[in-house]
Amino acid sequence: MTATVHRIPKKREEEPRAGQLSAFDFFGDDARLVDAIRSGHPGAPAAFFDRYGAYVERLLVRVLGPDQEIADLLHEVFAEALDHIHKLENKEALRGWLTRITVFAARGCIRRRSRRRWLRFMAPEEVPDVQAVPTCHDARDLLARAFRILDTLPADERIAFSLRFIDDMTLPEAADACGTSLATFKRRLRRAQDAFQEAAAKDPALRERLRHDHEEEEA
Amino acid sequence: MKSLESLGRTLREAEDELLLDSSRRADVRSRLLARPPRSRRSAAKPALALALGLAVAAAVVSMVRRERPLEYTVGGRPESAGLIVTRERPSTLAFSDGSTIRLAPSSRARVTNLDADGAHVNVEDGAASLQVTHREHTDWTVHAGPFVVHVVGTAFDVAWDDTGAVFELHVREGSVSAEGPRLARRLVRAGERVHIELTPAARTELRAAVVQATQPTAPAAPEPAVPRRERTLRATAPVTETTPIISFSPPSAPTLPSWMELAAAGQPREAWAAAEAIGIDALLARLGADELLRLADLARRVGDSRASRIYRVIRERFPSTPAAGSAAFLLARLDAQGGDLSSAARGLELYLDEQPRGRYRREALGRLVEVRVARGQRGEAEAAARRYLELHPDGPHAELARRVLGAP
Repeated sequence: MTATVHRIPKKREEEPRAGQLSAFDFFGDDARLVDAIRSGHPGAPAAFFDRYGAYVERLLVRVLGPDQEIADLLHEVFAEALDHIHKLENKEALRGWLTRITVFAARGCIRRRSRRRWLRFMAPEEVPDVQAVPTCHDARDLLARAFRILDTLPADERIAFSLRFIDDMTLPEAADACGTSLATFKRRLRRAQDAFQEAAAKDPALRERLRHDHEEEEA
Repeated sequence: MKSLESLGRTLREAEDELLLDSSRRADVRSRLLARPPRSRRSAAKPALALALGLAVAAAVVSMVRRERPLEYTVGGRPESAGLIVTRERPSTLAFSDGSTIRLAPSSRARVTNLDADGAHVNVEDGAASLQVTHREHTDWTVHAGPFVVHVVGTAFDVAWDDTGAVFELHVREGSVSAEGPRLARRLVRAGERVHIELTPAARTELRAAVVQATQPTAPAAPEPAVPRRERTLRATAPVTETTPIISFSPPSAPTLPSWMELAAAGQPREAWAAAEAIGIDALLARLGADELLRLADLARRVGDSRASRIYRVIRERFPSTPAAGSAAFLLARLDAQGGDLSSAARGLELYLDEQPRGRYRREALGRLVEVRVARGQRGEAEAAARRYLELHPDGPHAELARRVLGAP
């Protein structure tokens, strides 16, 4: 089966610019895309990145939060996927397979950091400061506070929490992304949820936010 | 549980603002496509590990030796080095040495380094006003696209339009030194203003120069750059192939986006006229994604055919963002209205692929059923109908979807 690649004449003569759409778009389905990559079609890796780059990046950000390594991890995920695409058995399951690679890469990043945390100097802005209670808790503030807590959780529990509550995956989707059974995933999620809520109760901004949501829910 | 889901939604929205900018994502893409075969890469790993080790060691030594680095806050909140993006309102970065950076609306800047003597700031797109406090060893560096401004204590405005490749510098107090393509390092004093607009050819050469990492001298400009917005400068500062355009005119007052106010006030025709007075091309180059979506909506409302172009520009300038996804959907809707069903179908599929949980998902799925039916693509129409009913069994297109599938 050959890949369907539609060229857009208008773009052909232009110099590719940073951030511009690719010189061509690939409209075949995932199975065709996998075939194209495996057969060495010159445009297939670019089409693969264009199709799933944003998705993988978002997933990495969901799990890791604001992070300087996102670009490197994004590269790592696609390099890994391109190197091992011959191992993908169900070509139509490309997205799920890529999701698992992404989660695995994020987990590796979290674990690497845990291991080397002992030699890091803690920057002043990372020192928890429960005394300073800002009057207005905007989204970025909450994000920083939430990830300060998530940083303390075991990698698998943190990932479970992020996929379920931040990325909004369903339980079966998230379990599949982690490569675990639904039961195992639920156990991890329960532990993560308990630990997060316990820590959030000590953080004024998160406590206020969760209480507000809870009251709205009750009302 | 619901409260965690609600919190998660808020975190998700905050994270979406922190996604990679288009140029960094394009870098990843280029790196990926240019990477050598696997066997060669594995050989490079020990060297990479050694280099990383040395870098970490150097960073540790540097941290121990240095004095306490500058700190800064944004809106009163402490921040570490990172990206700051403004949308409709400006944002002020206040540094611990008393310096401030006011980032204009629709701008993007990154604090890349903080040390005891100053900061490295990269204005990736948009404009910033800086007031740098002079101290004994003050050393600030501001990058604006390919241009670099060295500062020892002064007040100035700097701007880089990433799309139009336009650099602007206006020194209000003291002096700075600036350098970049077509601008050999030179002192720019209070009241002086530098405006450089790179031609497409010069930009191509610039990219080539960056890739090849050649000497820092600027490539010969094949075409003198003529600024669109400052034509009067030609009389006072004739442009030659080697001279950057430097004017001594006073800075113009910042203009308010009155077209937005008029649009918000329910006066679309007046708003569009105001936008045209600024120049649609200029707006396309400098507005942020959300503002461009508003501009496109305005064009659509007044029936101006440039709406499609604006959506395409959004996709080019802000790829892989929710705004780009919205643009794909809205463009597809225009295509469908214009009878270009093939493009409409492609755009809808693209939207659903890029934003599988986007705000227009239900509408996009429904319109996809319509478009497939209109094109007589029975198989695709049935697939679209099944997809629609699976996700939105009670949606507005559910009846059509059931008819397509022959269900009651």
